[in-house]
Amino acid sequence: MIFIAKKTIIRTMQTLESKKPPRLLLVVISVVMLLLGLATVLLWNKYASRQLTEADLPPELAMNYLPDGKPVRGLQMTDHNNQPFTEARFQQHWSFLFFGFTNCPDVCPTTMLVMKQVWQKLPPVAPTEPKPQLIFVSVDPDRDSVAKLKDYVAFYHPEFIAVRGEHDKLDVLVKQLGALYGYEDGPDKNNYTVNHSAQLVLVDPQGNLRAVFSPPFVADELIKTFTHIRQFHKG
Amino acid sequence: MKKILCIMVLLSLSLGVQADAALVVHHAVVPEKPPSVMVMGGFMSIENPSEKEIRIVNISSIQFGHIEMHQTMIKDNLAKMIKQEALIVPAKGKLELKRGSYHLMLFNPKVKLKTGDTIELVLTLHNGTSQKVLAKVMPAMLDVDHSHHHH
Repeated sequence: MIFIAKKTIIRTMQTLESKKPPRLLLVVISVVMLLLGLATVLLWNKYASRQLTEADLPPELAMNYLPDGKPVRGLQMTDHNNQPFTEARFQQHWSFLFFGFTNCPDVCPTTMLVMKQVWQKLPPVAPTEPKPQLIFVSVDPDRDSVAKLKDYVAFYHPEFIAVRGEHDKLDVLVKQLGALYGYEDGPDKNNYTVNHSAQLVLVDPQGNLRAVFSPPFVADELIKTFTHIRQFHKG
Repeated sequence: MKKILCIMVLLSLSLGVQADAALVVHHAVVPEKPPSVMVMGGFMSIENPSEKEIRIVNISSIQFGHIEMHQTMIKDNLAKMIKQEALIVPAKGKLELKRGSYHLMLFNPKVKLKTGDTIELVLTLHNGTSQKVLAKVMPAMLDVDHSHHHH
């Protein structure tokens, strides 16, 4: 295509030469060449980036990685140390998020214990590189106080973070991460159970939802995929 | 002849009852939970050597407010807990209470339970008989079934 275009330019140049002064001709040629170059660069970029979003994902990432990361915004949560938790806390860190409640007898402890293994086995990052974060999002703010959440995450790993927010604020986070939760009546007012999304989601160091992991979780597999994602994302 | 038949019927009945009462429970464990959490999970392997299905219709313990039988179901990434009216142990078969599957929910421990403590559970079966099971409180670990490492 470009080759034909160049030939056309040469022909145009020859016809122009016979009628117009050479200076104007030079300007026209420069502009045409510049536009052609620009078009080529733009086309190439578009082509290359489309390749990335569709077919060019390494097969080991295809199940998890979201090529178009979704920015997570507008968070007004509180962490287990009673500090404000906004999307600023995602900056520079890879963050794993999990949705659960402290009274959960099976799914949540299992995930927390798998993540504890992940934390124990993850190869150490360079001292200058920010550590990944595990964030337990309580979907039961009526029963999970800040103090209870502090006790809960510390039981599994001293670095784990828990966040809580009243339902309106919790929903801002949960919806953006594509998660769900709901309540089912129990034997009494205080003993209801909570149905909740069981996936782990990964937010990148720029604050975009970047990957989703479906249960059941195995520590070694999570580490392998996470390591791939981290390398791929870096470039 | 009538007498012999009668004895045979009685014998089979008594054998049936005897077998029904005997579930064999292995590795009954309750992983430790953070101090402030008032619900614990219970796991075990239940064997039924008899020729008939046995249903566990209730489980209680004087150490807990109450106990429920549940099944974890994860479908389309949504985790749900389905309360079970009974746990069915098939004839000559086994029922595994394990992570991500059937399990017990033990509500409101009367005292804080730590690794090494023993929990006494009473299993009530569908025929009205009951059976005691001792469960151990274990450290919070993924593996709740030490008998199946070869899997």
